Amino acid sequence: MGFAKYQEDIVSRYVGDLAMRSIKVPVSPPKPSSPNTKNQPDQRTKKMSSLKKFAVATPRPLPVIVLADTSGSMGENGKIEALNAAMKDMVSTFAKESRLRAEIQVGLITFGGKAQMHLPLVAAHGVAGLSEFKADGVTPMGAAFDLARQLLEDKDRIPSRAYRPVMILLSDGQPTDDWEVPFKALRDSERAQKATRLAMAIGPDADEAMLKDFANDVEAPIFKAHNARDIHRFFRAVTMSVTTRTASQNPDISTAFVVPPPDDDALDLDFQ
Amino acid sequence: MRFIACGASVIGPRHLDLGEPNQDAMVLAGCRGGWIAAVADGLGSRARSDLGARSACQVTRRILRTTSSSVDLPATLPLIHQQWLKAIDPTAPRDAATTLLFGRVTDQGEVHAAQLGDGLLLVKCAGEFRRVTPERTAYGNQTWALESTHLQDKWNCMKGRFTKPGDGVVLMTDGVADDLEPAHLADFFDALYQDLSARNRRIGRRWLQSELNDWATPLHSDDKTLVAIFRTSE
Repeated sequence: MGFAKYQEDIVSRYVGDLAMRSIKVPVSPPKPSSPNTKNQPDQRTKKMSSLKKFAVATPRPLPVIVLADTSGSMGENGKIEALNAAMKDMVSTFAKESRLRAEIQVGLITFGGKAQMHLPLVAAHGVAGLSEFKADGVTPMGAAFDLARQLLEDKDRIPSRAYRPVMILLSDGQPTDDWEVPFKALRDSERAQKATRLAMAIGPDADEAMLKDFANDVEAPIFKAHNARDIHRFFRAVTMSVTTRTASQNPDISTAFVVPPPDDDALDLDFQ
Repeated sequence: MRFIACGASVIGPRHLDLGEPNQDAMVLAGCRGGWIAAVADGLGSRARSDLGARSACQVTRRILRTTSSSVDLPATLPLIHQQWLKAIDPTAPRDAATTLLFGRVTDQGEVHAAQLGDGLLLVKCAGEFRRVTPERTAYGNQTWALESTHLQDKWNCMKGRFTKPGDGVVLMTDGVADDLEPAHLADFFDALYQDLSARNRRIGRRWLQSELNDWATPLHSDDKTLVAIFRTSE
């Protein structure tokens, strides 16, 4: 800024003043003022008119989209309970985070029996009483990819000024629908492919190869959750990574994805 | 033909909090009865983006001053890139990456402008408003920039002529551009003209600085830079 000021001072002293000095009022304004026109430029009725009315009135969003497997198998070994608790923690931390230079928005897509928007993309601080996931049915992951892609491509729901979205996929089993075509569409979509993708494999039956293909953040390779506590640890890392981004110099840059170590005194049974 | 030219660059709250320098830069200089303007936004993730942005503006001013006004801007782009690389040496181009928007208005009202990367380039010629910057296809802060390789095909260029009062060119970095309502850019352009043409440049600059410092978008954080050149008389 110093340089800019310096330059302009030089210019105003030696060059520009010649052009400026004689101008007291515009010789010919661009348009005659019209009392009937709306959205007209400020007519200078106030001494200091304002450019503020042209500024967007909402903060830049940082969307976080979770694609959660809620198929019947998630009902075993306390997985769905752990996921519900981790989700609540994450959303409430996002809502309370006060250092933010961006508004964290959360959207939840579930796929258990059918794929659906469990929670439409909304500001985390506006989420009241997050309803719990219920484990039921098959694993239509492909349909969930379609929903995610549609959301990421929708410029009304995620405007171009938004920070790069984060998308998190978690699953404990094999997809039961034709997931490859929707997955390719997601990866090939000009807009959707720009999102950061994280993945968590829950238990030994998860399709790790597919989840590895899904993840695209070099800072965060696929995370394997062996027990309920691991699900919490993963979402604590997601929360930390997102909140660090919003407080960092550039919220679009991926930050270190560090999963906190397990508590030594925690007693947890591994998923079978 | 008379012009009013004004510009301001303010540091954003994020850099203020972190005690870091403004990573935007600007130049606004008179040249043979016309004006030269440039704004640059150093990429926030790069260590010396402030140097990159400042150098890009200085180099642009120097080259446009010495180049005949009859030379098309696209022809000067490789030279600007080459001179920018020299100016930032020994800093690695990657560490000094920056966007760049610039314009030249001759004393006859011929306008040439070009843009690489984020930000917004608006022009009005013969009373017709135009957004030169294409719509962004992805999300914020993913941008082309001056780096080690010259990207001729990534530049957006325009040329035209100011024929009416209120014609002009406005260049701004994404700290301003991303927070403007896309549907009201033409009104924003006209409001700028009305406001700046009612003030002398020093007061106009102070007003612009205060508008940028006191930006209305909640949680705004980026550095903000805007330069405008308008024709004010027949």
